[in-house]
Amino acid sequence: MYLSTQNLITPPNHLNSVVLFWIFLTLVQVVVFSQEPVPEPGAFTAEELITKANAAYTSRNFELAESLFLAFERDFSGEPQVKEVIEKNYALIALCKIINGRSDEAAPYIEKALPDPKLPGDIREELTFWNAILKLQAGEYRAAQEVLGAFFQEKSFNYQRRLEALILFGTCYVLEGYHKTAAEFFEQQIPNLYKAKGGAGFASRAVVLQMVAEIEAHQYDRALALLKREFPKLKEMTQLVSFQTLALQLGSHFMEQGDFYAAIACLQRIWPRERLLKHQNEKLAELRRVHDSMKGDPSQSSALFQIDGTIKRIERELENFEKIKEFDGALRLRLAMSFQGLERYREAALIMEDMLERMELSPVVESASLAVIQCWSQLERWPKAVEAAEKYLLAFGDQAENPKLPQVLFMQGDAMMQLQQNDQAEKVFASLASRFPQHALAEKASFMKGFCQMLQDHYPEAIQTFDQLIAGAAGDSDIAEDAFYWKGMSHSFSQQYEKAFEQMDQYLAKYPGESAKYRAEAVFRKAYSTFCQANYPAAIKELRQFLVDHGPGAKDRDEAQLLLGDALLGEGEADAGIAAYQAINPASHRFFEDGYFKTGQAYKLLGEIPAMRDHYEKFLREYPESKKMPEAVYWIGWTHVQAGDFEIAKKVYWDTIKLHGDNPALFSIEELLMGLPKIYKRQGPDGIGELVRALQSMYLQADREKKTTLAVRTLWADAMIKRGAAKLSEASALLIRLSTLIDPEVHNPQIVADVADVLTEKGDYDRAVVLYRDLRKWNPTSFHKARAFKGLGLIAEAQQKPAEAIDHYLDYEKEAAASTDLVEISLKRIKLQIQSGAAPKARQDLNGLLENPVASTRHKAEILSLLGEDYAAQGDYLKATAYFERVYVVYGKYKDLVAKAYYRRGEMIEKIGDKSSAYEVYAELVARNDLAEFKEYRLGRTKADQLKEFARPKPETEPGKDTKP
Amino acid sequence: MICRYLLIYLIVTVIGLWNGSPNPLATSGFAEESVYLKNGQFQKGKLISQTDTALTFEYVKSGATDAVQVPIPWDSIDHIEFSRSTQLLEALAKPDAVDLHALAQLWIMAAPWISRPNSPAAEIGLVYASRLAMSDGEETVAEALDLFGTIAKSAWQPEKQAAGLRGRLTTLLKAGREREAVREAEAIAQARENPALLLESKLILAANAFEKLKMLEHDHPRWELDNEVRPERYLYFNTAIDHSLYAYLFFGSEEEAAATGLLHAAEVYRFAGDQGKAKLCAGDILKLYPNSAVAPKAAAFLGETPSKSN
Repeated sequence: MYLSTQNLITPPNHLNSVVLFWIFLTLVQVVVFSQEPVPEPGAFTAEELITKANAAYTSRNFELAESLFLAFERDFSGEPQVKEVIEKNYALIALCKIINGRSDEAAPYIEKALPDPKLPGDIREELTFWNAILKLQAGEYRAAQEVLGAFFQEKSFNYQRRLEALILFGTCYVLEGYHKTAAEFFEQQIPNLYKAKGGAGFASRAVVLQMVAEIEAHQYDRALALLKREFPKLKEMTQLVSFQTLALQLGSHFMEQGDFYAAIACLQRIWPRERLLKHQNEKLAELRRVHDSMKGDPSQSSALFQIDGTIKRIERELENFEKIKEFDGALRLRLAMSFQGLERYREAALIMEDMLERMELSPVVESASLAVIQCWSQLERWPKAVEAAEKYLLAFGDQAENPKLPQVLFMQGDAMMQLQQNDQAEKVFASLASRFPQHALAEKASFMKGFCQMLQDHYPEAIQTFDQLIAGAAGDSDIAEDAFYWKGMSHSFSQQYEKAFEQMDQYLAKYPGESAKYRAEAVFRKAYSTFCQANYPAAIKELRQFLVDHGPGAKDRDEAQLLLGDALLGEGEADAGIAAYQAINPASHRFFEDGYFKTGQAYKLLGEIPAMRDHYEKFLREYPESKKMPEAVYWIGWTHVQAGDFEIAKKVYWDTIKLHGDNPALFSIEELLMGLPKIYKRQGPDGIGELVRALQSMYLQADREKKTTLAVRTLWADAMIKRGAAKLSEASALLIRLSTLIDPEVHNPQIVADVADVLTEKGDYDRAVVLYRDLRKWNPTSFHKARAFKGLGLIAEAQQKPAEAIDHYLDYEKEAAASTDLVEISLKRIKLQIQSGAAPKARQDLNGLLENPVASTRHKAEILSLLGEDYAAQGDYLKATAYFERVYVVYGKYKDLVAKAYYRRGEMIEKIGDKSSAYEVYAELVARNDLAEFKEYRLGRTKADQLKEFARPKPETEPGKDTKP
Repeated sequence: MICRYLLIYLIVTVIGLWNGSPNPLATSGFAEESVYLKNGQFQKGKLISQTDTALTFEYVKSGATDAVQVPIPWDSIDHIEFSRSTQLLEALAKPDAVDLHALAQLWIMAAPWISRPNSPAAEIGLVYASRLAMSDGEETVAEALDLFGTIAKSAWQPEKQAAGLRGRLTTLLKAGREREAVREAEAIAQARENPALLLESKLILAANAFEKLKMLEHDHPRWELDNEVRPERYLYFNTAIDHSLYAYLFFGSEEEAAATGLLHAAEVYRFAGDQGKAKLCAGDILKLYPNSAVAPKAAAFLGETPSKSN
């Protein structure tokens, strides 16, 4: 795991306070006004006072009304005749206090008012509702629930308010801490609320309350079920911000508990911040519109009261939510970490990568950016890791104090190395080391810089880097030890064996004992260096000591055995040398085979021919699938030839071919077949004829026995012998016969390419293309693949498909960098590019080809012609003339090119406007009778005739002097 | 201008030139469309042209022989009933039986009305564009792309808009223009806050990459040994998986799209021989989207998949 929980931002802990705040807001939502002064005692009579109070109440001046009602009670409470009036005023005083924002003072008046059986229904409803709320405020939840329960049951009360009472009833459970009961209550009521007329808003509030209750009751699975159930109605939800914030809290809980699937299920059901804000604000605007339309309508007071409360709740929620700037980051990071918890690094990386694309820079995005590089590295998607590191550096790279920059640079360099972009990696490591010299990774980065230099074969630079590290690093640091060893290896790779020996010797002195990291490697490298300096006695001693110290299975042991054998033979100790070779473990394929064949050569040198033959026969028996099998057969045959036993020698070959010839996997059989002519030629002029007859006989037998691979091989060998004997049409006929027999999936790609080449020569492009494509398809690592590209290019060119031909030629050039055909094919490609007007690098390519040692003189003449054409195409006629001139001056034997070069130079000079000089060039061309067969000669003659009038007068010669030598 | 329209509208409706009950005039020579006004009256005639504010309509007054053209404000039109000629019906029923030129003619006639409810323009447009897209010619494909784009942007039916987008994306992909396809899909989805289009486009891209992966492995069965082909193979594989998982990772609550993508990812993994990851994807469907339409397929997939990773 790359990410730790430290990367998480702290969950929004204020969540519960938000929810509880709006619950409270439901209860206290009236504006508190300043209280009117109570009139002085005796200022009014009872009648005056009650009349004024009633008038103030009726005119909705509740402050004045409250003062006057209270003054009435104070002044006349002792008078029995107004006792009934005073009792009736209790209700009005309570209402005034509630409306005036002094609901805490209303309770005693409500208590006194409610027992009055004559209390009007609307006032009873109002007071009962507020009685409940006041009890709720006072923390008397049970008492509040009794009142709310009764209120809900009273069918004469306003229906919406009864639903409000139901919600508050459940809220009491939440406030009292009975979360399970609350959750169960809302679970039962929510379906009813959805069904109730105008109940959707109440249901939405109930859902949020249930979510709070479920989480508080630690009933997380029920909370998840609620989230899943209600998520489809999210758009309709009034308080979706609260609901979604709770969902994030729930998801975080699951993630921290390691229940990643549940976490994912939660987190997937949370909208992005902007979408939430947009929808919540739209919902708020809609509520405000409804609120405004109801204002001033007394019949809507109850609904208005409810909407007013909801608006205030949402406003408060939004205010709090807008403070959570990193909501999206927190959400995405949790989702990504949940996937990471499931070890689903791709999923985690994709989510975090998306964060970087879409979100503003923040600490969360920064953490995710780092994690995404780690994830791609974990998945070994190195191009993605490099890209992610580049993005990180672009976003956060200019923060000089960013402590993570060195880590990012290191990961970037590492990913580049994996992509074998060692030059780029070197720069990144160098940058890290120079920008952050004090960082813990600085030394390691310097080492990696040196390592990258070494991998690019830049040994002097690598050695210098390692030297600087050794000089600067603390003596006991791991990096210093690494640098010490790899400096020695750099000397070894650059064939400075003496220095390599010294460095390894110093390494062993500086890091003595078994704890040295590269002890065994350094000892071996010392011996290797001694061997490479041809100091065999010393090498033998060192290698033997190495083998004593490093038993079977040790690294470098088999190579040491091989070197020991070589050194012993070099010192003339043949038996000991052979013994050293024979000690090589067969599992170390390459060293074993090298040792085996060197043993054979040792027997040969010792003149122990029977032992040599036995040795190779054993190899043939035990390792028939080795690529060296034909070489073993050859040496067995050689021993018989030495003894004059040609027939036995031939028999060895044929027996092997018969035994393994139908096994298509053994491509070495073709080599064996190609080795036969050497044996047969020794028999004299009839030898090859006999070989051909033997091949044909074997072909017929293989054909009868349905041994297709053997049949293919013998027919092909026959064709190759005929080709070698310049019987080209017969060879072609045999190869064309092969075209119906070969199976490119299994047969040797050399045969497939030979057949396809012949089909191309014969113009059978369709069949040739199929074979070339199949060759490419089934032999991606074969060097014959290059022949397929070449063939496909030639066919495309012949079929007037220049773009396709260019692509194939380019593929060929990549595959066959060392081929003798390279220059020819490159020229074909450049010609096509120039012709199609798409030769961005033509001049550079042509100059490169001129330097190619494989380029023949004919190639060079063609290259100069093409350079002339390229300059001509660019409008630089003067330079073009120089190249054309070089062709006919330097490469006169290629007459076709010379004729063309003359003519083109004349044309270029004409374009410059020097018709006299142009005439001279055409005239010179016409004077060359050896070029008369070419069309440029005829064209030149016409031109010369046309420009005759521009001919310069011949310079007069001094009398008595001949201009000719 | 509005006053003029209003006046004509009043003349047409109040003076009673239009039918008050279904008693259409038989007017030879017209492709008859019926224009229904909001006041309940209607008239058969010919749609001539339109602006943003009004329709120019040609019809023959009751008892008259000559046709008249009148502008009708769109505000007063309830709806238009577009006639469907036999040729149009045949083209829609058997598009392959109609030649390209005839399809083009039908489209040209219908195109101006593509945004108007009940217009068959998008339907014939889709048929025509699909035929054009099958061509190998660059210009024809470009024409198909334009046409799909017009339908995606202007069709009055959301499902035809989606079909237009689908057609455009698949045509772009067929032409090898993947990046363009992705950009377009994202832009459209963002503009309409409609993830369905984006998710569908991601699945199309995933399927496209998977097809290319299969084709590449068919053409290069030994791709693992091929230094040139290997990066391309991984590109297709990763693209197919990444796009398949898009809905799951970014619109996980869109259950059907997420589950469909997961199943596709499972199939890509299975094809690539990574049975372990294939099983994980199929398992995710059963854990997170057990009620999705593809859940039974995921269960079957798990039953079929060997327990050990290759």
